[in-house]
Amino acid sequence: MNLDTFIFLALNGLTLAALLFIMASGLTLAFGLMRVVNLAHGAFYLLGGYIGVHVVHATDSLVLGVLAGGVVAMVGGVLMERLLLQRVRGLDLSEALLTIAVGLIIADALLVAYGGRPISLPLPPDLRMPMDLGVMMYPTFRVIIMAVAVALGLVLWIVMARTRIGAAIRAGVDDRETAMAQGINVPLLFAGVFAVASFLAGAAGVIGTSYMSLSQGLDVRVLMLSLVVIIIGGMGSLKGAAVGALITGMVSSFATGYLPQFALFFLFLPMTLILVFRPQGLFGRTT
Amino acid sequence: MTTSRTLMIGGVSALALAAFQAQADDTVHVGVIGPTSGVFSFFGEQQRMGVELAIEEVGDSVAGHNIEVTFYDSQGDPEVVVDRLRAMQSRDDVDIVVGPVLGSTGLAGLDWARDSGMPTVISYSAPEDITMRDRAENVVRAGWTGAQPMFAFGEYVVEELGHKEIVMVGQDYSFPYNQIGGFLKSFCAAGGESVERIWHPTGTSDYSSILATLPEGDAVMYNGAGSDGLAFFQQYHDFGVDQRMPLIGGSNFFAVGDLPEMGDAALGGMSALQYAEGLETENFIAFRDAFWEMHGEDTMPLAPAEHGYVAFRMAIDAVEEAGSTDREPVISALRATEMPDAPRGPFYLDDYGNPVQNIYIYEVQERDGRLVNVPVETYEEVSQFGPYDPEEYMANEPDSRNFPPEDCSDPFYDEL
Repeated sequence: MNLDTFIFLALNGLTLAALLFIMASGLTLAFGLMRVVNLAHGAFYLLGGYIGVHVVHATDSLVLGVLAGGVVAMVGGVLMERLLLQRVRGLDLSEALLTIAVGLIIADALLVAYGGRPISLPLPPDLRMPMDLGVMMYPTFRVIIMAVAVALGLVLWIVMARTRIGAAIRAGVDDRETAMAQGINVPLLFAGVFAVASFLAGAAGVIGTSYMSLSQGLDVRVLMLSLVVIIIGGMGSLKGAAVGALITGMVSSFATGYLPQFALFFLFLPMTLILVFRPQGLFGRTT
Repeated sequence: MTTSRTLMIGGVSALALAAFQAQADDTVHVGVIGPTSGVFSFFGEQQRMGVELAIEEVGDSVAGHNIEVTFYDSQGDPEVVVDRLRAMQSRDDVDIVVGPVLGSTGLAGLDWARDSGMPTVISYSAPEDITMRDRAENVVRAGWTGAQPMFAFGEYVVEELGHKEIVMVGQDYSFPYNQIGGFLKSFCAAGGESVERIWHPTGTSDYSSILATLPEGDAVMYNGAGSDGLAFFQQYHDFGVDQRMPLIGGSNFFAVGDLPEMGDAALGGMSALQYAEGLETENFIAFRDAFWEMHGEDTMPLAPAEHGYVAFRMAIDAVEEAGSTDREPVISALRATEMPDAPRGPFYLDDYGNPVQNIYIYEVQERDGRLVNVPVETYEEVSQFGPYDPEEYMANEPDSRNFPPEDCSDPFYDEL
């Protein structure tokens, strides 16, 4: 393996890791707080993607598109949480089935509205141009995706570590009952985290479409990857989501580069090993 | 006494039979099946629009029979296809089936048709064994096999484009195997050197790492289509690989409606198919204009539409030729199909039920503000066996992930 190829593959891995982190960070926090695995997370990616691309076409503004995708997904997430999830709170199976149902309904509605054809995101040419990273030329928008993920990670970390809300979320993740007994409004907190998580999924849908085409079925694949990330990292851990995304992104990139036929095998291998030897994940806590 | 009674019974049954036949023969009922909903609805909708145009042109009746057409939705699912086909036979008294459209549904339809004996005209579905190793007497095809257009393309790529080493990236399933299989055979015969095959699971959306480790060659071929093809196309240009190696496509890469999403970067892209919407023959222009008049100019009739149109006309022509809807004469008429005025160009069926037809090498060009595939070279009378003897061709194993061999110096190609 020569050095250029190595750097190329590493950058590809980082891009995928960045996108996965945007997806998985919200998902893992929502899970840590309420033990709800939102299996509609992939459908919010799809929803945000379609709406966002539509808005980009209409306004020629990428930022507006990302925001629109995020906001629409956020509204969907909040409605789902307020109107549906609250009714079955605490029933693990019902909660999981409910999120699956919502995911299927959203995906099918999008199929009716947008058809089965794949779509792509029109990017301004200067974003498509490669940019000099010192070690190699790499497409500008991919560098931006990485920067966005790092910024998001920093913001989330500061919020979690330095603010009252962050402390409350951490308390809720660690011990929900005690946190509620202390007067923390965990359900409200949860609604907020859920809204942020859905926003991130929707925004990721637009961001991801900048290089992957958007089509039916992508919701399931994206959800699967996000679950791999949070299983590796440990459910409920932000640090885990970052490390899990890095591992998944790198493994996926190097496996696809050298053994494309076995890419899926290598993708799920780390998760399988983690589940066998450290079921709570790298940074997860046993409950 | 005995004689007269026998006569009488005979006469009565003959009358009853005649009455029954008159009733059954009043109409010819054509069942059209394709994926008009779901992820692959583009293909089913194209077929439906093509068939609707054919219905209008054919009129209400043929050979004294009223024409009745029912559309069935396959949802792109082989199990649903078999359900619908059963309903056509036992519930709806369908006389002839047009479709299915997709690869897997075509094979399911073939299995059912073989057991039921239903005259069937398969449209866009391209697995070669439908009209080869698994062929059935009552099943013919209006479209193509995966290898068929690539026989022409392999030769063209060596002789006209001068590419001798090809790097292929493709979706890991049988249709792309068949496409590159046909390509390799004529590519090697024309003096090509090698085709390196890189297979990825269908549904892959990130190709950056495949592109990072892409071997050098004279050109890259993407052997696939749909969302995978679109993502590959975008990333190929994002990383500037197009500056290094030109990108050519498998038959569906540019041909089935993704050009608007690909944009101007697709200009100059080349592949091969038995159809090209940039044809300028009289028959084609007439077809296209009639299609636009019926369905609006926003919808370009692509290969699945023309194949649906042609398949329906084949069915009606066969009934006309047979003069009835009796299966045996209809099937022999179907098998003898010749269509000198088809929109795609003249064709006739070979002894195995697949069209022998023009293959167009096409290039993506801009016409009146939209991107279209314009034919730049025509290979006439290409059969599903290419230049090879049918029996020898079928004695070979079917194309697979690594058959035929990737290196043209392999002894396999000397014996071919």
